[in-house]
Amino acid sequence: MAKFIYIVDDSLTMLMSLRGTLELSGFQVETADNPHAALQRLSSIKPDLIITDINMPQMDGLELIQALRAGSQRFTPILTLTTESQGAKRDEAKRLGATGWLVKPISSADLTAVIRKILPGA
Amino acid sequence: MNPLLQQFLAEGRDQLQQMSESLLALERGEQSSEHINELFRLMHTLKGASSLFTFPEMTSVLHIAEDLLTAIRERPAALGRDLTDLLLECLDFTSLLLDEINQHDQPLAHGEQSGQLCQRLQQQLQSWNTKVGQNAPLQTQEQTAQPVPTQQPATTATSRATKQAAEHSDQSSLADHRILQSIPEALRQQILIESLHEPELNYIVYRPQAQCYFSGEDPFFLARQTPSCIWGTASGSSQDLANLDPYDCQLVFHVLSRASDIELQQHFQYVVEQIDVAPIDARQLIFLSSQADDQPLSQETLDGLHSLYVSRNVSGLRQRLIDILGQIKTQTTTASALRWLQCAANHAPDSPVMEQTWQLLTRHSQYQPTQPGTIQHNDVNDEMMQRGMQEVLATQRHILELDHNTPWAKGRLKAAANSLANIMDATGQSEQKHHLRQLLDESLQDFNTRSMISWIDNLLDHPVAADQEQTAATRRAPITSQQAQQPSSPSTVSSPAPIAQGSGRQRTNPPAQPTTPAQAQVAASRSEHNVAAEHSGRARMADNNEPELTPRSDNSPRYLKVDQEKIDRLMGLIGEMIVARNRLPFLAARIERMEGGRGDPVLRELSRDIKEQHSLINRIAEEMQDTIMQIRMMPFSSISMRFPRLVRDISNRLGKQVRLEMEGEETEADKNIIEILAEPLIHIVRNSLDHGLETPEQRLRAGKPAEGQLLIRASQEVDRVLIEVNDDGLGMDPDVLREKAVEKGLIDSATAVRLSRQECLNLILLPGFSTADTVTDLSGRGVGMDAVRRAIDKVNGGITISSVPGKGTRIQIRLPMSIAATRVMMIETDGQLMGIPMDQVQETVRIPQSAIHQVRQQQTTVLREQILPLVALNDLLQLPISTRLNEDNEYAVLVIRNGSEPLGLLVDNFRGSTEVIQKPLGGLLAGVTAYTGAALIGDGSVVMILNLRALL
Repeated sequence: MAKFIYIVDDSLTMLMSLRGTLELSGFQVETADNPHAALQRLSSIKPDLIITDINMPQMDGLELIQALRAGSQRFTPILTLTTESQGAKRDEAKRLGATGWLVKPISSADLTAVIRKILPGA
Repeated sequence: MNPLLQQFLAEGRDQLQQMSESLLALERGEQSSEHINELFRLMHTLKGASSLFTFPEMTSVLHIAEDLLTAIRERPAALGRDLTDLLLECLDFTSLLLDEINQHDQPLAHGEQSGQLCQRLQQQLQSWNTKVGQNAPLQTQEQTAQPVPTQQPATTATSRATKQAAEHSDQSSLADHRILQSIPEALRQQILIESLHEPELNYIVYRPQAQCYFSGEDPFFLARQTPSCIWGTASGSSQDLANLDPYDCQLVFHVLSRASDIELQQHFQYVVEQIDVAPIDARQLIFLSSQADDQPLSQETLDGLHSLYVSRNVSGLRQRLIDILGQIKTQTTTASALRWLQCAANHAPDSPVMEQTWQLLTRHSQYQPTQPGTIQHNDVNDEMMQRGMQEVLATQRHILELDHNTPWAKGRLKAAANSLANIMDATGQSEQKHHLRQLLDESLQDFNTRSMISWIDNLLDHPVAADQEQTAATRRAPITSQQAQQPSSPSTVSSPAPIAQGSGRQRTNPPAQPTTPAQAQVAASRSEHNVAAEHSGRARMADNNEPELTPRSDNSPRYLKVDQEKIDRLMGLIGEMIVARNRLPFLAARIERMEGGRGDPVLRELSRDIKEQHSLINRIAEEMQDTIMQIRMMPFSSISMRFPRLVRDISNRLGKQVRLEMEGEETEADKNIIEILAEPLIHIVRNSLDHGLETPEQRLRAGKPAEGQLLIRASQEVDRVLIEVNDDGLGMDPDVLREKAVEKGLIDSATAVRLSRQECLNLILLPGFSTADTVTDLSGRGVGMDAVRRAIDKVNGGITISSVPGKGTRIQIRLPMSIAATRVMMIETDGQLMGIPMDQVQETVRIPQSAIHQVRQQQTTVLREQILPLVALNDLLQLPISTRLNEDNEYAVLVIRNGSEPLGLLVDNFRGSTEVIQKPLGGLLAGVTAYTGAALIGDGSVVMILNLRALL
């Protein structure tokens, strides 16, 4: 069965791009453009992997990770979307329970390679 | 254009707009970290999205701008005008590029401009950093060092690993050895052979954090996926069972890989601090697999081999080895030594490996009597057995000592008793089992295990405490240090599972390896307990969260971005449905007209049902239409949001002080209306700033406050939207306007005299009218207020101007809220039905033929003591037919507004008014200006909607 990836990013462009890449690689993708919607949706579904942006309005990615780890997604791998300059945030996210990170901009080959490394059977 | 790019453009524009709002808010002194954070976030997001495409100029400008914002954010202070200007310029530049992308799919090249922008941003960044530097030197240092940290973790780990490899090269080879022993001999030989060509061989120790499962990590999978992995195993770290948390990861992975250090760092990038990588020489893998059973070679045989070896007769040696190996048992240490020698002879007869393997054989076979003796296996085994048994006993004792006030205590006791019984069997003391059962039964009744414990103490022939201490000590000690003394003691916990082999999966070690069934039981029940706790905890959490979550997410706006075309299509469909609905009454009427229709109760009922359905569908359709129209509604703020920026820029450039106020930004109107409004409104605002409001000096001289007022207000009237632009500037003098108009030859002086004050003000709406003496680069671009009027006319809007000289000017624009549905007056001419928008119709009158007079070329009549010029619609449409009269010799006259003058339109007949959905003309008809569009009406026929403004 196709692996199910859930993506949270306030940039619809980024969501569209990631979704396109991942769907082409055979993943099932669902997205949310704000962390609140993501949190609510993720209380009822179990994706195989969650990818979240760090900088978001209302609630940033770090808070989202904390909430997910304290709640419905204790064991789901979570990757953060960061840029080259966000080393500190990335480490902070890791400390809060993120599994790893992706560095924007990311090529589709790199993206799928990282995901295949995180997800058994992907 | 590809949808991703479209999305980027749409989103990018939104973000630019929001950024400029934040910037202006900051400039106004709304000093808050909120704005600067927002600004930073948007810039960051936009830059991130832009890097998905190849727009290097955009990305580089945004990148430096982001850096600048980062610096500003870290030490926020009031942004100066310069900085705000520069950042706004970046936004403008990006906006320009977005427009170009929209047109050409690619931005044009702006090498110089973008280069300059980058340079200026860089300068600002530097000067900001120096400024900050003076106050907080530490922070600057951190900042300049920023590009490096991303690589730091990797570097640290590598250097740590290398350092470790260098410092402890001896020790680590020893340490590895114990683990390496579990590599099957055949595999070791294969690795050795391959290493002759491919020397890169790394030994990786990966110690996942205990809490790693809570970070979504899968250490086993990660280890398994090690690039160029040859072999691997997992060992459990030994830990006191009572304190063991089954949710902790207890595993340590050992992997042999041909991948380079860099590849490995890359693979383990998220856990780089948890791995150690050390290069390893394949020759370390050359050692014997000791077997319990052995079959020593005779002195003679060894001599034979020796002579072949020293004479370098490789082929002879190979042959001899095959012979000998065919004769002895394969599962012996000697056979192992021979196989190593064979391996070397076959693959590396000239390398040091050859000698090493020869040594292996001679040492094992004591071929040279000086070699140390072989291990006495039987003794060791006895000793081992003893030691193992004692440890099992001690462990059971420990279990029995635990707190038994738990639901699983019963199972635990039984399991411990089972283990003890098994030991009795193994040591030939089966007669003790009966006694043991009695003790167990007693213990199970009151959970008092003292009798069982003392029974165990009797079995242990030396003090238990000491034994326990020792056990604990061995457990605490790192595995690596044990192998020297205890080559294969069962108390060292690891039972390695080969990973690289096919059967790897089944043999994965559990987090801890319980040595006895009893311990397994403890671990299992403990984990069960934890799972249960986990479950209840999770359930609680879910309960708590539910009421909290729901309202929270309701607060956040939930929007759908939908292609406008889809909404338009929906609108079109609902229009068609309304038309289809209107067929129903016709159908009902037809049934009634049928033979016996009125008399036949069945048909009558059918007709009534159809009418009922009609009213039901009618209600639903109208509600649907309403809803769809609401979807199309946009707030006035979607265009007004650009005004703060516009007003700021223009007033700065003109050296005027202006305070902009906006009201009613939430007022909604159809998207098309709002969009059409945008351009005219900008023009009006520019006019106000340019011609209306005075410079501070002028204002002070006139006794007004230096700061001018500009008010833009939107509000809703019954079915129209009213937009007002008020300024408290110079105002307009009707007499001056009158003179100007005559001067420019727009009207003759005779007409000018007759004009009222209001009419004079309306003169500015005429094409070619401009009041300013000098043309500035702002408003006097030859696009005058006539353009404004044209745009507003297009959507059937109206414009009203009022002004008081010296006090200010007010311009009011009224627009329909929706252009989707139009109310039209249906008229008949030349046997055709046509529609005229109701808002142009003032009244309908019947005028006797006798009341019509010819004044010069113009037909006129007098209506309520006013002269009303008349035009025949047939003439306008160039139909060669004269207008029909009714039985009473009267003309049907539609009084319409033509600018400010009323006009009578002669038509054949009126047919009442109706609501229609207009569709623009397409294809060949698109160029026909006489009609604004076509619409379907109830009986299914098409009606053309006249464009009177074009006709007149």
